[in-house]
Amino acid sequence: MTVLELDRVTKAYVSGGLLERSRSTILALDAVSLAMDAGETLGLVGESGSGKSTIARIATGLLRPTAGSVVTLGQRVDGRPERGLRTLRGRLGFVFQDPYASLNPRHRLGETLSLPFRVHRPLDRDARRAEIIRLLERVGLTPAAAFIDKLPHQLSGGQRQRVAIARAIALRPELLIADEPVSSLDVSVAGQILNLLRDVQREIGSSVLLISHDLGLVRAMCDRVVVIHRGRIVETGATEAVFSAPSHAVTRQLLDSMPERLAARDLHEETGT
Amino acid sequence: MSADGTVLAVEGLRVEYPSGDGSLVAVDGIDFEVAAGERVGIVGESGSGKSSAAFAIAGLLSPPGRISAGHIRFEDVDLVTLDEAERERMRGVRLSMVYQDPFTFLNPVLRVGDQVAEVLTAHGRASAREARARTEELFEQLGLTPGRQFARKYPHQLSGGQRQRVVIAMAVIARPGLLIADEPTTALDVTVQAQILTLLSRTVRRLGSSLLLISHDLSVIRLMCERVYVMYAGLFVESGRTERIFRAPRHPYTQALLRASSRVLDEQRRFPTIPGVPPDRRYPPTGCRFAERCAYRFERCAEAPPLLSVAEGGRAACWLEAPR
Repeated sequence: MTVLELDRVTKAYVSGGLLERSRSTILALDAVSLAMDAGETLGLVGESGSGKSTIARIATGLLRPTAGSVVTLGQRVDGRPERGLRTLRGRLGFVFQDPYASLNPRHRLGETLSLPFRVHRPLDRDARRAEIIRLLERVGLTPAAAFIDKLPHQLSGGQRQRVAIARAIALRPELLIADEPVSSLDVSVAGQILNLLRDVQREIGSSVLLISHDLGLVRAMCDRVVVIHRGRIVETGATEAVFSAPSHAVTRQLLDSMPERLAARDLHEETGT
Repeated sequence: MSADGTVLAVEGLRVEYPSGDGSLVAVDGIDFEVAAGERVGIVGESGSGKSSAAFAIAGLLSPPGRISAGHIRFEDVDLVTLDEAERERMRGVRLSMVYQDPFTFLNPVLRVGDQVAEVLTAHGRASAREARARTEELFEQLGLTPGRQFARKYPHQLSGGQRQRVVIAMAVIARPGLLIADEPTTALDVTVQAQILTLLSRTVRRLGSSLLLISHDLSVIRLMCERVYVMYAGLFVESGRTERIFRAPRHPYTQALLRASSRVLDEQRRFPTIPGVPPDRRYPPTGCRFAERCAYRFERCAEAPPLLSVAEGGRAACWLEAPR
């Protein structure tokens, strides 16, 4: 089964206002086609501005493409906003880079976590509270009763990202979208969050679309990888194959720029400036 | 530089942030030195105190942060006891700093060439014409070409990598004895990061400056620095030659940090982690600050370990290194 299918998706922006001499069109995405299978963990890699986050926003109906078709969990999402999108969002989960920006600073955790249920799955008060306690425990925020009334600013970065994961998995989504989920966290905390993400993914059986510039992370997490450059897919394949034998120059350059692969000798010597 | 070739010697440095319920000691007594032309790194996670140490040395701590103890000897002058006017004369000239976010550092309404040239003209170190010529020449060396046209640009017209090059130009135009770089490439894409690190390394080498690099990223430190200090909860826990620390780390925190940052899954196909969280810095433990998270903890860890000598001239603050 295919959870996500983009067919020649293009997203164009017109740049230049009234005061500019000329208006030009910028293609954020240029005829991008990709398909993602159920249960798969797919990595989207590319530099900032390459279009990787645009793909995620189009796939979830947050952004409408200029051309092309998008089918997410069996539903067309490239057309006009419809009521159907709301049902679809209940089947998707999101984890973003900055958990502080993605959590409402005035909402206590209980309120943040009750929202998915109130919008998508009506439960009575007690059942909802039981679900929230279960979620907090699942993501390791224990004792849950002590966390339920906390505000985001009372939590560490890692704890906030745990809340974001709890919210993302509340409705057991079929597709989980993680956009740079650990790039704002310290390495010792990042590992805990990544293990949690992998565990809940396995329990729920979600497919995961991982967007990251961190090639080491993509290599460890993803079955398959898609490399994007200037709005186009330049390479795609099984993760190990792409990492061990990249075929496109852009992929090679990304891999060669990893600090782990740069040689100190080349860095410090004047040759080849 | 002093007679023995030491550019910077820090002794017993403490940095505090007074607050309502007691003081937070961000840096709790650290000693280190940087030799002429040497590239030294301080690596640590957020809250370890590494940036507070860097800002204290650069004289850029923002209130209420203050140096509460210690000495910072730079080219034989103690920066801690120096008056503000003297320090101002030194800043950006003999000792300069590059920060993580170049956009907030640059003045948006001034041409970048004028901002760099001002470092030289501000203290009468060069005439306006000479400063302009040297700025354009430096821009060329940093790949900001053609230098003359580039100097006329404004910060908003530049990419992130170009902005960071301008900030580097500003930091090195006066040929400083020491360049402090605090997470200089964290906000940049990996390919741009590689270019900036290369540029930074070659530039300090050409000028004969020393480099103090502050980073959370072990792979960047490994690439750039000859020696490294590992910082945890306000203290150095390990120091030594970079190559030795990566090959044979001695402190359990260094070992755990290296494993966690590798992104290589363990035998159970799990990402390696360090269990627990760093201690609350307002109430630090009296013993080893890493003990609560340490797999090798034993009775003696209730007492704070000093930095003990380990192999190859290194040091580690761990009782496992004490002679038995």
